[in-house]
Amino acid sequence: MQDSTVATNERLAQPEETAAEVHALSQVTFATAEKLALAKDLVRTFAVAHTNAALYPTTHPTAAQSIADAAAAVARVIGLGFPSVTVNIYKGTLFVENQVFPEESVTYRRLIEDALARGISAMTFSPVFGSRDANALIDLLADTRIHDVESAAVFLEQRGAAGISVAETTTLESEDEARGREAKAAARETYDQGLAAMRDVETQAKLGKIFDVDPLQRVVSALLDSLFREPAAVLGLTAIKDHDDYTLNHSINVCILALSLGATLGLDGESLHSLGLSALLYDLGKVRIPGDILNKQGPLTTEEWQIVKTHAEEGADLLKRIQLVDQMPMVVAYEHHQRHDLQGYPEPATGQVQHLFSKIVALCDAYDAMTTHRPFRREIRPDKALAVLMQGRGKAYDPDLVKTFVAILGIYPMGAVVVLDDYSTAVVYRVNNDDLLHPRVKVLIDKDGAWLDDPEMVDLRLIDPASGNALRSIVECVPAADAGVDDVWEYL
Amino acid sequence: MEAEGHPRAEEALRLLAAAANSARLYPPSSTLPLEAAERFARRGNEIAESLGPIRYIVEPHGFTVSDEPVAAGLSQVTQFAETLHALQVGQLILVPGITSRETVSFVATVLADPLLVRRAGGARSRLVLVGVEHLAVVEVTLRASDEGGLLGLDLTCAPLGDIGHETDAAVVRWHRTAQDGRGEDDIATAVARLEQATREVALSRLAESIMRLDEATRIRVLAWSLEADRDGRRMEGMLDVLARMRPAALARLLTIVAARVSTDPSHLARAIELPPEMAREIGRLLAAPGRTDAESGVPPAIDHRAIAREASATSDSHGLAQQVAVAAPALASPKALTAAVAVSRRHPEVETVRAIATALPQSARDGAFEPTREALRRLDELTTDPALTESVAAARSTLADGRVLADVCRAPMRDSDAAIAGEILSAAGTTGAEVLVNFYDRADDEQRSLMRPVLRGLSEAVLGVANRRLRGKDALAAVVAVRTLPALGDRRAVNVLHDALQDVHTEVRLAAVRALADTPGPDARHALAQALNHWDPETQRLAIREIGRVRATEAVPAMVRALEDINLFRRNHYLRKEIVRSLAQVGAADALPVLRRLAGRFAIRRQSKELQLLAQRAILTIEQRPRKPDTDQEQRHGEPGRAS
Repeated sequence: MQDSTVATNERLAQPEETAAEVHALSQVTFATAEKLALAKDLVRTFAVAHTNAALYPTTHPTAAQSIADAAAAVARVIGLGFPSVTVNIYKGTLFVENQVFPEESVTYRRLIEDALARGISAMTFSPVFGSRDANALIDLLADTRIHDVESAAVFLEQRGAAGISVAETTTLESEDEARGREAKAAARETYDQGLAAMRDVETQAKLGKIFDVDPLQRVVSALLDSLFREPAAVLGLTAIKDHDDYTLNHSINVCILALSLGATLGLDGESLHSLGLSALLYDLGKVRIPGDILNKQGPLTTEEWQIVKTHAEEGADLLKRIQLVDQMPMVVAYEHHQRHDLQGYPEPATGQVQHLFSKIVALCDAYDAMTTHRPFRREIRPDKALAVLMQGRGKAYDPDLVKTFVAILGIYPMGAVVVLDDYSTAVVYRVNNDDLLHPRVKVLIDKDGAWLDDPEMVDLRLIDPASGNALRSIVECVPAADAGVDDVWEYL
Repeated sequence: MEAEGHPRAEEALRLLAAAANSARLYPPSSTLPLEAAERFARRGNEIAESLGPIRYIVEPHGFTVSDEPVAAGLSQVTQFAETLHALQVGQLILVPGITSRETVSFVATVLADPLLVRRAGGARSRLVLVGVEHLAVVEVTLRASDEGGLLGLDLTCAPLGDIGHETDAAVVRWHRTAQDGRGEDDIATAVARLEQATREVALSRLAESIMRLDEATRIRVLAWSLEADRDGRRMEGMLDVLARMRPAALARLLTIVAARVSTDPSHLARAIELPPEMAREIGRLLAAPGRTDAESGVPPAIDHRAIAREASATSDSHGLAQQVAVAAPALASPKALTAAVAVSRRHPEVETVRAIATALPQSARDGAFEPTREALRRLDELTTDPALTESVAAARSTLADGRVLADVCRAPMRDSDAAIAGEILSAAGTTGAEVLVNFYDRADDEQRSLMRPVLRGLSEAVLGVANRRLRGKDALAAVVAVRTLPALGDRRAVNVLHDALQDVHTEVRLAAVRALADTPGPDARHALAQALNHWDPETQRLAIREIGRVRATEAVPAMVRALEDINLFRRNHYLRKEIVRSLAQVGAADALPVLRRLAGRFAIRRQSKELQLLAQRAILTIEQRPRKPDTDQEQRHGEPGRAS
């Protein structure tokens, strides 16, 4: 036990740092209105400088001022804490870092076209960027003799512009696909190990034996490690739904969702471990509820319902021995149905409030349960499930927690199967935190219902320059099974 | 094949490569090649049975399974790959049922001169000829065929688009011929022509190819393949293909077709011979939806934009930040205690009491007094169970720790909390009193105000602590105890303080004087007045000062007597001056006569003059002071222990 704890601690030597890393990953690049305004200003000032360069000689005060403004705008954005800032032009759409700017993509069309005509689709500004660099960049964009990015780079070099570099991007993010595949496979392996460990625990608990939590702690550590490295690979695992082994899969899914939410909230490493273990075990009390009641397809009688409700206390009873790290698994098992408004069960003591971990687990439990097919009902679409959670804010669920949860998962979470406005069917494989309504999708089925040989990857943030609207958008979310898609995880 | 199957696929491949290598290295008379073949046949079958058909892609120098290299870097396997590659083999397929004889024939075929093998129609034909059915190879080049349609395609490697197109054509042919009489099932024919090892691969590819068709065609494919010919036969070849579709895709197809022909999709599904697992999955997918979305609480209309706006908005998540700040597991003991107590009502057993014991001390330290009290009461109830007596005692003993009790003293924020803290301290017995005495001595006014009732409630134990400390050698500890006694409001404290006046340590005696001054009641005043006659001048002097400080009018006669007693103080002007100052402080009119005598006395020496001057000032002070009841003094007695 101690050995494993030591090992865990070594792996997460600086939990605050790693938690901060995850926190950063899950955050929007320009999270506040003020930051967003600075990013927009950067684009605007360059567009203005570009226009002024065409209207006035470079020595004219208006042109000089606009150049200075552009340099100052870059400095302000870098001042937000970026080591450098990149303006991307991806399929005709403007991005600053990973933040899409749809309106600006239309308004500053000329800037985009001139950059693309020079072979430039990415401009990276370093902290030393100044008026001289801005001048060189504006001159470059106006120089019709340059048609490729190499010539553009040479131009800048000759002008001594050290604070700017230009490049050609074919994708918005330089995602290392091999690394992604590897991370996905590793995450899946951890998931399967988690299933095996949970199966053992469940069996031991059913037999009334004391179970070993070491394997579960290892699973939590591995999930956290993966979460810090490749959050999407881990979050994508929650798309795995096994209807035969619902309880086990559900536990792991809740654990993953809870860890993601906990990391986003900034919990430290020790707390995340505790939360993860609690999220795996919170429903263990159900092993003491007769199977015929748990799996009953029709409505439960009052007596049956009373029996089901005892699972919270029974879970706490099973977990009271699990005190190797702390008593949170017992607490969460006991409290997870008490609800934010304390109208749930077991009846809370006066003045008692639900612990944050219990709230997190309750929320993740509800979401995963709703989106999984059960004997008594079909799965609820992810977007609808999130709407149910939003509706339950302040009642069953903590309102701020629900908002954070939706901000992580997006309106159309990873694994959601969606129909696009061209009638093709796609699966969401990445959520764009800066635009929750427009995720990145893989189109699996064309408008006629034929499956594509290779899924087409589409970023739904991309806009049509002519109309200013999204090139493609989601019409509706559909249950995966209804669309004929079996294993959504395969496509993530 | 899932990733976890790769190590086993690799094992099978290594064994087959070893069999080939063995046949290459050893003469026919050796038993080693046969043994290697037997080993492969035995283990290869086990693996194929567990994983299903295994398909390896043959690269020039190695193999891959599901795009992952297998057994890369093993020279034996590399050589085997090169051998197959020389035969233009693109795929190697293993299915269960492999025999040793087949393995030997397979190895002999692939080790033959590649040119001769190719001239004889290729490795695949050769293997079929020698009766190898469960080990198959697919050559890279398409099989030459003089037949058209599906029968002219190599189903194991032809493009899926081509197969899909021809599959549709085969279904159309079935539809036409079935209507005329006996249906012609090209799919069944094409699959039957294949050696067993490649049949499964072909059927799976046929199923995949259907998905490449548009949905309207796919619907027609299903609908027509379910049509019976005049003999009542359906298109079994196609139904076999459908049984290999992905469950959700098949279920969707069945649902659409069933809706068009106004029947139940499960009824259509029964026409297809599905493997049990697949049948169960299809049954699940086709089952009635059960509870509706509305019944599950889904709102009738969802405004995605509004939700996105709300979720993206920067909100004042102060509440959440606060929750995060206190979410650390180390701070959750009160919750653990509540849960453990609740569990103990359902499961009153040793383990539950231990869980209570784990959470109890920290909960008390954190100031979670309600859960702590609940736990203590529950422990009281549980103690009646003989089986639990010992563990309950152990649980209670967790609170008898000095550090825990010190935190218990510090934690209360209101009177009700302090009352529970008192219960905890009381339960801890002597240790509780010891800790409380130490705490009280250092506490600020607010804490004292909260804990004073607790201290008074533990009067007996606190007096015991004071007595014990006075008997001990630790003067500082004794001082602390003595300083606490005035707050007890207990007459018995005066006796203890009286004893303390005789302590060998000066600091204890001085503390006792101050404590007596701060202790209300005639007994304390009497004891304080007695201290005027103390053998130790320092104690004496402090007693005089304290009398003045607390305006102890009861001690005025004694001080007057002392002042008049010239013999006693003749050599000690300092004490006399102290008495004069004290009398002035007390404002005692009874002392005016003696003060006037002192003031009017002829004085020559400097000290006498000083005393005279002090007496004159004291008279003025007393005379100017309005005479009123000693309310100030009484009030001060209510807040003892602040003297320094």
